[in-house]
Amino acid sequence: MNKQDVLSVLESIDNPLMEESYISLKAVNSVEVDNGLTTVGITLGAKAISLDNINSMALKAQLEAAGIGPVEVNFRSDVLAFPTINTQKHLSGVKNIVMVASGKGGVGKSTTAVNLSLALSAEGAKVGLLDADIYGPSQCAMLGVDENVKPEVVDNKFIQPIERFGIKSMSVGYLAKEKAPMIWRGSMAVRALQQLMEQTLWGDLDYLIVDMPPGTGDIQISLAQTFHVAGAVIVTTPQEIALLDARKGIEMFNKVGIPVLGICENMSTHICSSCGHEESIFGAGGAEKLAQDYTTPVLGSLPLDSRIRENVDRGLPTVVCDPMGALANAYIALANQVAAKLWKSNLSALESPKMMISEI
Amino acid sequence: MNNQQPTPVEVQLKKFTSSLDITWADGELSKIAGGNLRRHCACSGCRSRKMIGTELITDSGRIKKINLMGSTGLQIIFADGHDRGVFPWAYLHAIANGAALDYLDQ
Repeated sequence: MNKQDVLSVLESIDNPLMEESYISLKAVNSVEVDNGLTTVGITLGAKAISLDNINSMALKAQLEAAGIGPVEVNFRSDVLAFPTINTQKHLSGVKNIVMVASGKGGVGKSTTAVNLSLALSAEGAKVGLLDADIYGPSQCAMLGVDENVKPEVVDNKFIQPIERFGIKSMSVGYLAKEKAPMIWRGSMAVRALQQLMEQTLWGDLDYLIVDMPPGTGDIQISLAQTFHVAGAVIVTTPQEIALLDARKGIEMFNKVGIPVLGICENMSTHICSSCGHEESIFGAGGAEKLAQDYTTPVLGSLPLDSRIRENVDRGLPTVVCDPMGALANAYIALANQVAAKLWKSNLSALESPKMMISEI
Repeated sequence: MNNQQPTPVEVQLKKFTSSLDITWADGELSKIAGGNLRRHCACSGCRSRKMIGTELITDSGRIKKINLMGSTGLQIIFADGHDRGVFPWAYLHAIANGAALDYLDQ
């Protein structure tokens, strides 16, 4: 057995999360054959540490089954950064900006964003959460940050994000006086958001999740065009009206050239807490239909469960409140899919074109 | 993902002739004259003027500078100071192929 043989076997072995071979994922870091023992080093471009052990065991078994004597597999992960991200100076430590958006309000974007952030963090990633819903900031309450906690201003220029449950968060809600509504015109709101994004000391992050305000207006388009956004997750409920708006959200991201990673179906079914009967209150199969129309995957489905709402209302999101529960697991599965799709999209993302200016 | 946008590999601004040469990932080369870009500027001001039917005040198509806007496209700054237009890659591709109006109608 030599290195070449090992590589050709690896070509036919898929990573279960990515459904693509380790070779085409460019994940094979090193292959060494020494005294009959083969050592394979794999570097994954997505953080999903709960799957690393089982996937490395599976890979080891598959390699050995293919006749490559004893094998040792080493898994590590290093999130693949969006190719053009390093051109933005203030956010140079941020590898990927991911928008959580929907066309319609009230479908559970903020709840999904906070639980997704926590789940990504639980899977080993460094995560930031920006609450871009400046007219109705909700992340401070959902993360259970005390009203008197204000972000620290550094050098009169930068603000320190607030750390909670291991993720860094920033929101207009931290800065504004309590309960004072933001009465801002579009341009003011856009500027304020840009400053929140750029002047927060995010440090090194694998993922910066942006909880977007509903709609496809000024704020959405300017944010999408000013920053190098790696991808968007569209949250929707299965009902027809929400799907219609989700469609517009997808169209907007297509128009501004941001890859839509997939759709998260929220409030998909309701399981009666007294009799256990499962019912699709908002209808069924809508997200699949939408996904088919736009050839984009359904990343996850969350049930309509009062615990999800109760938990965020209490400032203790489901992922940290009941980490072993089925709901937390559903969010972890969603986080794995988001990380995987982002890796895939970054692999194929367009590199910045070469820019040249000539005087002739 | 559902990203069937044309991907630029190289963008060259030729200042003297005021034209933009874009090489796409599939090898296609688009040469777009500055005047053509100025006429097809899709900023809100130019679009509303087009809708009303008033004439373009200046016909200068001289390009002073181009800026990359995220992964979206290019901001083109014309010599007359007009800098409000952001041209997505797909739009630039459409302009080069004479399909600018179809793109805007979409």
